[in-house]
Amino acid sequence: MILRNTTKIAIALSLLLAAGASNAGERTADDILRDYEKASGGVEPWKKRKAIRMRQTVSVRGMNLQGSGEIIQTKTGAFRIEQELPVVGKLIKASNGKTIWSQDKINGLRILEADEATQARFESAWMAELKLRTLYTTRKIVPASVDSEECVELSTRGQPPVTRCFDRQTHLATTIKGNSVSPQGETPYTMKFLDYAQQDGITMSRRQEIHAGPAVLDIRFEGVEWDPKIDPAIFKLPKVK
Amino acid sequence: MACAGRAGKDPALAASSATANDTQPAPFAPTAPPPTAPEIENRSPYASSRGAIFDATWTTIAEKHYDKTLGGVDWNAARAKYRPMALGAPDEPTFYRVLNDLLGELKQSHLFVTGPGDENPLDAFEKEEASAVGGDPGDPGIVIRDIEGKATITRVRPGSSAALAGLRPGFIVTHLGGRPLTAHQPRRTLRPIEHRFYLRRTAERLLQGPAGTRITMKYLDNADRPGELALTRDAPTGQVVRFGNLPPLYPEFRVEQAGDIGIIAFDFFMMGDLLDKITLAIDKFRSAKAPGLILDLRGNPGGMAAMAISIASRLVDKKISLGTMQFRDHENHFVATTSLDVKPYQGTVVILTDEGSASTSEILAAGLQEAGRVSVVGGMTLGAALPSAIEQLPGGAILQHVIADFRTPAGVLIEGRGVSPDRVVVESRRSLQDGRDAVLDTALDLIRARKTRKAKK
Repeated sequence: MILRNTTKIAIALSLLLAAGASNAGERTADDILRDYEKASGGVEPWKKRKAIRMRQTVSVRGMNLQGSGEIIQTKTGAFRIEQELPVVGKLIKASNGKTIWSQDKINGLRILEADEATQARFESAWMAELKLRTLYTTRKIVPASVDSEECVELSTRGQPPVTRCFDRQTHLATTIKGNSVSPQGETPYTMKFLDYAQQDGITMSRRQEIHAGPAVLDIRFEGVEWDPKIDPAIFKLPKVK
Repeated sequence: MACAGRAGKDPALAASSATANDTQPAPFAPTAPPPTAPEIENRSPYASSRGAIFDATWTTIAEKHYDKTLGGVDWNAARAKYRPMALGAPDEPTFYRVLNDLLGELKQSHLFVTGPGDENPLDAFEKEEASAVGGDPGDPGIVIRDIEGKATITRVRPGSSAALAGLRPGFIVTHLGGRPLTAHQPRRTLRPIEHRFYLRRTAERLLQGPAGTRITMKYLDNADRPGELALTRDAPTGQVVRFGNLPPLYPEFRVEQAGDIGIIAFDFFMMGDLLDKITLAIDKFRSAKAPGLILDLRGNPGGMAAMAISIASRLVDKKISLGTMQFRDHENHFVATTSLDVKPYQGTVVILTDEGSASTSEILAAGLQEAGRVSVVGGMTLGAALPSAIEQLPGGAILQHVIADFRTPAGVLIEGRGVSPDRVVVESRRSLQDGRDAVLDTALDLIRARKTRKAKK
């Protein structure tokens, strides 16, 4: 019994030592994420804020389709993402902090569940970009396709893993690769972050390029408003007649 | 935005389906250098952009087609063959015909390219009127189809110039626009249903033109007496829909009632106002407890594929699959599911089809048919159901290209096959002359019979 316990301890120690040896001098995934948090401006600019409203334009490349979008997030966990394309209509994803729901012309009004709900909650969390180390339970370094970047794979129970890459010099995000979840299944996407600029102490990407299947979407942020007046009703699941 | 429908002037260049062969390596390399182009004489104002248009077309297919092997077609060889021909074309219609021949190598529907200078040939009479009038696209209000092997008027829009001119269903059209009416066909082997489709499409193309212009027609009336007239193209009555690179559309939408049975007809799948009207109509018949609902998709070539989900969701009380779209690197399932803001219609549903029902019409009909939710009545559908995208190319050209494959939940490929009706109705000139709609009558009989059976139980 004693021998067995000793063996167990030895094995555990050797594993720890091995882990320690291999990691000596190397950056961990959390180091990369910590650098990103710092490069983005850290939590300081967010501390005095209660809500943010971001306006965007959306265009589908080569298809002559232009629309608009709006993202509202609050410190209390409520959010509303609204995108509108001509003819297609509005696509809304929202939560009052408890129920996450979506409404569009294709799938109607639904309460999101499982992977779809988790993904929406993660993407729309207040200061989400600064919480990657806590939102995702598993974080590991994965090889980057270019020398100038370093990449981290983030995963957690209830949603497909995402790979985020960062510029080695600026430490700002360059791409996210993942799968978007919908009732129609998972669609792989790559999001590129472009045109970084300072906005009230936060370093933000003002333009994003999303490759999803055969489509390429260009998203341009047109404005940021802090602590706007918001009717809390917009976060609630609409009443059904 | 996946579009399962038509673009431009010659939409569904349907053919037998190409078979993906995953075991073969990709037979092309998008980076292959272009063959040396022959010297181009400056015969066309658009000639300088031909190289860019050709290359963009070739590359888009190489990089975005859902099947990386392109069904075994040697795409590099196709480029070598067609590029010199395209660049040396004497005019733009010929240039685009060569480009469409290149796409035709893939033997699939939903592949089409057009652009500046690729105008329809018109008679001198029509050209003169078109240039004088211009304006919105119109048509005289008739549908011409192949019935018993002859180009026959199958529908006359009430109040249209055709109706006012005395044209009736059952009349045989011999000449349109100064020429004998025969189907314009691509240079490839067609399935029998495609022969019928192309006659319909040729007639439709000739009938369409700037509102206020006229088109000449020679016909045989219902007593086989010859007649001749010039029909005025009526201005479109519906609301125009502009979506991406599609030409302006005027979807036709009709709601009718035969006793207590609802009939909803629409000739294009387009979200926005049209979807709102369809859902309102379904809700109206649900509230009225109509025992049956008929979706008339005859002549509906498709449109926005996702709309099949929206409509199916209003007809089912549980989650069903309409099928699977296989993209180049992923697949999407067309799942129609219940939503909180929809009370589904639960009565008998019948979908009407014919050789003009294609794409999204086929996706909706096949999915609901396989799920046992609808009966399909009428004729076989076209079998042109590949999801596509419509992109702008350099030089103002527009390319419709295939981005996915579509299979029903049972794995059936609709492309090149079509949807088989549960009740096939062979239409005759006689029934048209009698003022009957044999397909609709069969659907009504079917619903009434079910209603009677239910009542007896």
